[in-house]
Amino acid sequence: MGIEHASLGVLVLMALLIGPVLYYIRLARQERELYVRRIPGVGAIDEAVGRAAELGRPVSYTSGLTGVGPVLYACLGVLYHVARKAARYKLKLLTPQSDAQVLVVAEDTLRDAYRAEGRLALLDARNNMYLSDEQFAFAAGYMGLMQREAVAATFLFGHFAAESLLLAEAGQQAGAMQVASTISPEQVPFFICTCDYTLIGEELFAAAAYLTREPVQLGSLYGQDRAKLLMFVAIVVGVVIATLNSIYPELQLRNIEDYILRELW
Amino acid sequence: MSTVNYEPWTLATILTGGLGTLAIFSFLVRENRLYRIFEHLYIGIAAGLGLVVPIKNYIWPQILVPLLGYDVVQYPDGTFSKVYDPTNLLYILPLSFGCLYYFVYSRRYAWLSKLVIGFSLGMSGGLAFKGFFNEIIPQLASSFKPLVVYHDGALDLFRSFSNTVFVVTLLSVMYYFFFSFRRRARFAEMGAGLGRWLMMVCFGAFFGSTVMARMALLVERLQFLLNDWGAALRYCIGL
Amino acid sequence: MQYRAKLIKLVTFLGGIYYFLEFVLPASIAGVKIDQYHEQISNGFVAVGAAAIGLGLINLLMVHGSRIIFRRRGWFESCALLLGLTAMAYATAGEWAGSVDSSAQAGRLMMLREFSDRIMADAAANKADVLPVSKRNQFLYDAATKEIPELRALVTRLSNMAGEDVETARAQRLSPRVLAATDALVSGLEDLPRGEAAVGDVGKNSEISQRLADASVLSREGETLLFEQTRTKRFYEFLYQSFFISLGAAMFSLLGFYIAAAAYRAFRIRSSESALMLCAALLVMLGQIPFGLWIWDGFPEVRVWLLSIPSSGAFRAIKIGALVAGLVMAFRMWLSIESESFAERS
Repeated sequence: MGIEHASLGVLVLMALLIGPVLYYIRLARQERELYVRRIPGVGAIDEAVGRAAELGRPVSYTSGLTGVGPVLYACLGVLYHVARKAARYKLKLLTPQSDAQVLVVAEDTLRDAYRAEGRLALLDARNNMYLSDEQFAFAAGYMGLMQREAVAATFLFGHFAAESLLLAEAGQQAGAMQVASTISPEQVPFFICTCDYTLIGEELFAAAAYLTREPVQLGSLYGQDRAKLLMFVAIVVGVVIATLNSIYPELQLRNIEDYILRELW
Repeated sequence: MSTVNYEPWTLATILTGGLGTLAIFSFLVRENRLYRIFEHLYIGIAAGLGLVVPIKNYIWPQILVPLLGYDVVQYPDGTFSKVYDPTNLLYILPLSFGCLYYFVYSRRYAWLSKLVIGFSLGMSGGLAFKGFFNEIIPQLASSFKPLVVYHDGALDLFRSFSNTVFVVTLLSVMYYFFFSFRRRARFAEMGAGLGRWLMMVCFGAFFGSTVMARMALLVERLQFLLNDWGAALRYCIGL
Repeated sequence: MQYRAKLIKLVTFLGGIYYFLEFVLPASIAGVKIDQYHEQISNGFVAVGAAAIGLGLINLLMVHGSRIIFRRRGWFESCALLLGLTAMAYATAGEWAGSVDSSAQAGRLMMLREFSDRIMADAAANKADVLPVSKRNQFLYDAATKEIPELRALVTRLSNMAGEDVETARAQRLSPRVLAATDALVSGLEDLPRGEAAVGDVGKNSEISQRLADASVLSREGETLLFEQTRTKRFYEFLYQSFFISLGAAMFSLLGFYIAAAAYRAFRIRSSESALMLCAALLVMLGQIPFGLWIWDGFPEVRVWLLSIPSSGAFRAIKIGALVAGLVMAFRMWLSIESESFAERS
């Protein structure tokens, strides 16, 4: 049975997860130096766009089956960065979409990116195209597009399902340099096999922070790490409690989830 | 001579389906005109379906029927099945607000579309809290595995080993994804390295598990081409 | 322009506040149920997104329409796309209209069944502001009797279906059932106490309700069967099966080819990581095929163990990380916490 309403434990956990984020964002805004380790695939984004500029061929960016939500918001950060580079190098940027609402959001982001580079006139609305919200119709359209346009760099960022391998193979056949990132662990193996660089899971969320080095994004990443550390410690404690219960069954220690889910009202 | 008699629509369906399948398969060689035509037909058909089906399955029964009062039925004696709820009229507000999306095509008023985009982003942000806790709590709870397991008083070595591998994998992969902690100590680098290796095992295992399923799909399509489509073709040419 | 950014931030916040409070607050406060209108409010939120249904269509028309008008590269394929779109939209709308028509009588019979139940319920509750039972039963009788000729016509249409296919056999089996249900309904209506002289007795209403329900179900089944033989439905099924389903299955089956290509590319052992991936994949594949069993009968257990222990652990770690990152992103999104927020880039 799901959690319909928050218990006290859930509220405390929420505060413990969000609190560090707010603290580090404040710290980052005070221009404190914040270390972020190198994420290999992220540096490849600029390399891929540079390659496309040298070859004079288009760049493609898709968020796959991502709907409106936090994942899309993370993808938009990378799209903004790629679009600014494409505008700067006067590259054709194709952004095929599978969701009509995402189409509008992407259109907005592209406009902002091109305007920031002072190249709004270069933006061609026809390159931000809706293909289909049906998974394989989208894949069919994307595959044909990659081949016909002979793209030099493709970015696959977001949520993908079984069509992930089709999309990645199409770019591979076109000879494009590919950088992929998905939060669906099931699709990561296919991207690893076909793409030049793959960002796994939450590296998608870290990518924009790493690229832009903006204080808010870096601070958020720091806070996120502290939140994950809390989860890490909780798992260690939970495992210790479970082990003690197994060795000494008479102890009957209550584990962490019992405390979290205890009803408040 | 084939003894099966095909009904015209069925015959057309099988023949077109087979031709479409071959057109898709032709992409394996290279992108070509036949593939392009069927690709565009597929997108068009999916778009046509996507236009009507949401209206038929959701907008009409859930929004417009209660709004227009079509769910209120008049009985033969003049009484009504229920009283029309005037709060249903409030559905006009979200529908009108959603129409602001279309201002994205206006140069001057494009900012209005940002209102509804922001609303949708905010809505999914608000929804994320419940979704997060409903996913993370069960995942955490089922991760609390004992490293030492007893069965009928005796130490169950296999389960203890399995649980230990599970917990070590979970923690080392989680450790790999820390971006802001410096890995100065050798132990720290080793932990992250172990996480990466175990992820590779995981991805390899998952890759291997999907191979058979994907092959089965291919076999099904080949069987359709050889059996159904082949038979329909032979029927057409009189064999 | 400052007001625009503030307005967008406010609207973004308002978009999320209901669901946040609905989760954080208890189900009821001081006896007042917080979420009594949850379904209607949720429908309202979804309606905002549903209004965007035309956006994809507009984009397709813009992109492909301009290609056709200006005879750009690919204009012929764009014609195919718009033709497919029009044909499918027309066929789906026709199928919808047809299925609504074919269930019209079933709907009326079900309405009469609800009316009969309402008569019983009002009589049990001694409701004062309604007509006497006998008068209401008279109305029920008159309205139900009007449906009888159409039911009998359905029986004839089902019996007259020609052919040797499965649908005709179904129609032949259904026809006597519809006839029996119609006759049962007629005899039940004759026994219904009604009119000025009859006593206000609801004893027969329960039986009438059941017979109306049976007639409704069979009417829907029969009309649906007949509708499936019409040109409208067949055209819809042709487009749906031969394009949508077939092409989807073909695309899915391409994965069989591509997974082999991807495996070849990935498993040329260039590093220790790819070697590890290869070994794991090989062990799992051997556990799934008879050849693996022939080599060693322990492979299936190794496969199960690999998938349920280390794989599961790694997946969970990735999932937990992504969930935490998603929550943080959702929080920032909701409160528009950005260096240069989406709202300010107006």
